[in-house]
Amino acid sequence: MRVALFSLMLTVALMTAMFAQAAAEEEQKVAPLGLQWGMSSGQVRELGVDLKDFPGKDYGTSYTASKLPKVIADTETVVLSFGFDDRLWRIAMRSKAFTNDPYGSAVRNRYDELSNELAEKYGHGEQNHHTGEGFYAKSDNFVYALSTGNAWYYTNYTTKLLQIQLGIGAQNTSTAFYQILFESKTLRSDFEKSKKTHEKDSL
Amino acid sequence: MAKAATIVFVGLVFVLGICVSVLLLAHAAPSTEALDADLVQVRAQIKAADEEDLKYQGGIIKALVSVRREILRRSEAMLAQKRASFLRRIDLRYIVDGKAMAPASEERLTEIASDIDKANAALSKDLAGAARYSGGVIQAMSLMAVATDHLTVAQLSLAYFGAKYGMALPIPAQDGAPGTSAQPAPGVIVKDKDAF
Repeated sequence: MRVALFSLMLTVALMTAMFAQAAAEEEQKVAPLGLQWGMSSGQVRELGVDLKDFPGKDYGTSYTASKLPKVIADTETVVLSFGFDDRLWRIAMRSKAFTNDPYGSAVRNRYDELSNELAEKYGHGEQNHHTGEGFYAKSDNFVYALSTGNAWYYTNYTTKLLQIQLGIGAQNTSTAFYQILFESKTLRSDFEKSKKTHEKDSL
Repeated sequence: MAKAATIVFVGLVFVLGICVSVLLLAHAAPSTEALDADLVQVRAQIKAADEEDLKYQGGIIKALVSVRREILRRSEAMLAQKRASFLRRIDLRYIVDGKAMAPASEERLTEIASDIDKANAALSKDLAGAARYSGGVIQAMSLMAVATDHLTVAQLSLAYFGAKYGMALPIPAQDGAPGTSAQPAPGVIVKDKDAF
């Protein structure tokens, strides 16, 4: 009787552990925009996503994506990076341009909204807001200060699995945009290793 | 017979007179005097820009002055072209995107004139600011602000003359209001939280 009870408890514990592990693995895979971390570019295309070559190899092979399963309302560009082993590890989203707004009021309002959403899902972020000094600190020079590198405005969110950054950038003195970067920590580490190998091989 | 010929002659002169009047009335506005007055104003601004340009050897302020001068020259060319078309009875019409360009309404002109006034006020303020310094980075920044203000005034003047005489400007239409650029979304739009 005691042996049977012990066996039952052991089975329940094992099953619970297995479910927990499966849930953790599932959580590790889930990426934003209806994608999954580690997917190959072929698997992404099978979802109906259009991928077009994106110049630059800083993050391995990258593509601009369209027809994604999910995007947020004011997204203009999404760049997916697959490293050198064709596994999705980085997602960069850039918003449409917020034009004719040297104060950056509209882009900052949107930034605040997104900041709250991200904090709700990924926990409190670490803000890095520096709006410049002197001339650059004037509210109507906010976007100008960003465009010249005299100000910066971003928040980092760190979880066990992900590194996320929400930031505001500027195209010129009165046009700004926000961008959100999602990176899988595990896959980033794999990418860094493969990058070194790739660089060594190309020498 | 002579009486009939006289009647016909008088009739012909009368008809010819009506034709000439109609032709003149069709090209009555704007008058060459108005165009000449605007040309004098623009040429004075070009002269001022030329004189200012000589003050600088190089750098961003000189570049801004050059841009301003080029914009003023464009205004001058546009006005001179319109004036020449009147004198030579050329019917000058501009078609942009299949729409005939017509002189803007008084309301629109007042709106642009108000913008010019505001830009001039900003210019006066920045000029006064720049006069407070005799050198250094702050004066350089102030002079840059002045040059930018001059540029704004020149651009607005170009827009004003273009609107006043119904001349096309190869400048993309902008409503000046803050907003976002319109491009199709790269996927299915969902709520923010559902996308993350």
